Amino acid sequence: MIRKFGLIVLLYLSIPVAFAQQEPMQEQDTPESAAAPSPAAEAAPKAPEKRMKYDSNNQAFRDVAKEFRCPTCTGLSVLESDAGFSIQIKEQVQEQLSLGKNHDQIVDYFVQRYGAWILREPPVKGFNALAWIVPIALLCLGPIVIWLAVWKRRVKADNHGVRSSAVILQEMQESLKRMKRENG
Amino acid sequence: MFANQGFFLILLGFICSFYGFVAAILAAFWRHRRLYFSSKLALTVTSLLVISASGIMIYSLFQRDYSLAYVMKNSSNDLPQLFTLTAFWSSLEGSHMLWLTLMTIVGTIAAWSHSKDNEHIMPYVLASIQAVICWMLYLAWTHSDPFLANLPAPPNGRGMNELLQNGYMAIHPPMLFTGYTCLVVPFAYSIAALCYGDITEGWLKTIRRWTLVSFIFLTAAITLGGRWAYVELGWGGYWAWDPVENSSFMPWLMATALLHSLLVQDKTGHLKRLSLVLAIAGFFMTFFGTFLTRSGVVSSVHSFAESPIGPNYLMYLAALMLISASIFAFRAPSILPSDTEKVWGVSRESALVVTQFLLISFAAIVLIGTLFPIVSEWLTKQRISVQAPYFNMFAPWVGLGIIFGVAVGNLLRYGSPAVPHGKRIVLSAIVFAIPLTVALVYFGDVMHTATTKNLIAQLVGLYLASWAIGCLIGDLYYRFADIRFKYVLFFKRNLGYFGGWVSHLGILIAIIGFLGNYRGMEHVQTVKAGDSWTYYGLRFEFQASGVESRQNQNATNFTAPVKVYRGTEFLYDMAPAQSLYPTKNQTFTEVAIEGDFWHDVYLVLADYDKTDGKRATFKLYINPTVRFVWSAIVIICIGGIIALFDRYRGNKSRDVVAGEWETSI
Repeated sequence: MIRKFGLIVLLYLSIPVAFAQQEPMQEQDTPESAAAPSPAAEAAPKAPEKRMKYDSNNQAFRDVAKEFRCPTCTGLSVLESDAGFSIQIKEQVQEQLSLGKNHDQIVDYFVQRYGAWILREPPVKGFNALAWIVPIALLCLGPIVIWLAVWKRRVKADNHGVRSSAVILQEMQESLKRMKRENG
Repeated sequence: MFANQGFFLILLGFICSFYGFVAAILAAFWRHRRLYFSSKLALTVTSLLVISASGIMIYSLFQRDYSLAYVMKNSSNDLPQLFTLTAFWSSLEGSHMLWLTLMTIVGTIAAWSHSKDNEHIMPYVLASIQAVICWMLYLAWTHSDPFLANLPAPPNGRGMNELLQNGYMAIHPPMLFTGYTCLVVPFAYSIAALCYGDITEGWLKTIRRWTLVSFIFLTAAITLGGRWAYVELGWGGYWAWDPVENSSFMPWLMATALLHSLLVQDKTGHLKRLSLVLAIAGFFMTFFGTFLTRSGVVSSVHSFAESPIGPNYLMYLAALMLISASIFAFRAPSILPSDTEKVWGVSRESALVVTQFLLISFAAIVLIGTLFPIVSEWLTKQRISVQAPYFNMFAPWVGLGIIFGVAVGNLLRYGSPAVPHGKRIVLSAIVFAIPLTVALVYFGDVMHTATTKNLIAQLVGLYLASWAIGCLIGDLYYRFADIRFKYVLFFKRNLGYFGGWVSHLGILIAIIGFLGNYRGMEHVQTVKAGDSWTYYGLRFEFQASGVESRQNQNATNFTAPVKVYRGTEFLYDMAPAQSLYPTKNQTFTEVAIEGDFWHDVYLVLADYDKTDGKRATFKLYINPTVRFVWSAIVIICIGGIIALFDRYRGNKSRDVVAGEWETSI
């Protein structure tokens, strides 16, 4: 009897999983990427007891929902996706909203529950901050480095590609000095 | 039926290309002319063998020969003709096969169409090309064998991926792979120049032409991919910064940077080594991107080991990088610098360097963003996501730099800080941009959905892009005026400049189009049949007939007819649908897109009452200036094609005439 009941419960629990797999994998860009194991298998949210109706036109809801990634797709937010897990996350967002939480609190709640993975961009913390620092440094320091290189080169020559007479004179004087020193 | 024959052809091709590779290397070392011809013939034979193998594959697809595993997995009896053909590249083994076929064709063309001056570096070119082909053939008969048998043959196949049953997917992959493969020629010529020890005459001309062809194909292919995503996936956008998209975008950035670097090399003789590095890196990126997306490494480091393709690709890429880098390290000093002194003052070459910096750092950012989840998971054991918001944070700044680079760079002249008519052009462009921006803001309805933050970004972006367009137009005008409007003379001598001009105009229009993404609108509505709803001044009427089932080739479409009115004026008949394919028990969205030049009305049938079809949920997107992007890309490609016809007039770098053959038979 107990075993039968357990089976039924298992079956019941597997419904959302099966549902998620049956969903059209619309977001999969290529057939090959579909082969990737769904990361949602680990982060699968438990099916909520009663389904929260969410209103996709509600701005507060949209602002929160677009922060989270769709667990089964490759590049979309849950807002843009109608895969099973996205719908569940959207329902949870609605639930949290109806509890009166604000945007940041809900984001924190989801990060605690699913890890930073649920966010669509890396958090600016620890090692992940590098993802932000490196590009910014690249974009800001790159021109400076080029500028310095340009600055160094520019004094050597005038605008027509010929080394200016001042530079040549200076070089000659330097080498004269050096020769004097070397010859004593 | 042809499993063995196909496999045999590929194996033969592998042996043949391996021979060609060895022969080319020996020919290079011994400077042996006949061996060089032999290698060239080997490449030609390889290409014939591979083309035959592809022919067999296509024949089997049309014969519905399910004794081939690939045919069984990717097609079914109900497939229409076109998609039976495109099933060829609808999955890993087949797209490899397509890539391989195009690679051999491009290689053969490059081998036979070289200029006379380059004959003595051709053995190195052949060796590089055939090394790549040889490896791809190795992969084709080991880990990604398209001719795997599947016996006994089942009566029906599993069917092609439904999302790929779309006209855009028929042309996107061949174009993308053509763009990828064309980059093998600059790569091979760079390796050849390094091995030979100098840049030969005609080297730049060849590389420039192939890079330009690759640029055109890649531009078109990336856009077609975006267009496919737009009409097929139904999430309302065309670019999601998905790893697959990124991996096609990085070679494009590299190829574009290479084009600009070749320009500097052409006019001043500098940046030779940068051109070599970019040519090698661009080619490397094509395989690297494929490795990232096909090995499963992007989705998770753990899925990497599951596919045998992954480790093989990794070894290949490591070898490619190691060999290229060591050749570069040992041989780069032999590439002589230009005999003109370096002048990096205020001049066009400096502007080109800045442009290259922007393109390369954008490629680096895209690469970091694509790789970061893997690195982070590997180092911190914690999974994170890097998606669109991350890339969208940096893209506008690069775009800003590109706008300035295009506007100012085109006004500058080589080797001189004097900017003829510069002040006048810049000032009149500032005035010219005002009415253009006002028109864009008015017709594009910028004020409608703007929040303060993106309103400023949009206004600044639109104004600067308009200003840059003004600068471009002014520059062209004064170039005409300087030769007293002798257009024939101008176009005879300046097609390269004019092609670039058109492409730059296209880029600016595309940027104006991208800015529309800031003000996209989305609305979800559930209505009963016969009811209507109003959004953005448009009235959408779900017809009383409800959801109808229609047959469309092999798919059954459940179509929800919607009529769109503005006030009482009838605008569009739209038919968003969900389609059901015979091979899979799930539905796919079929988007309906209508609209004018300024706004796309994008309607998705999200859900409907399956019992009587009298109630449906629609997702409505109003996408501004999407058509700007499509037309801009067409303009960019036209610019590229114009530049292809440029008559090449030699370059300023100190090129050498290559030596003689040792055996002159």
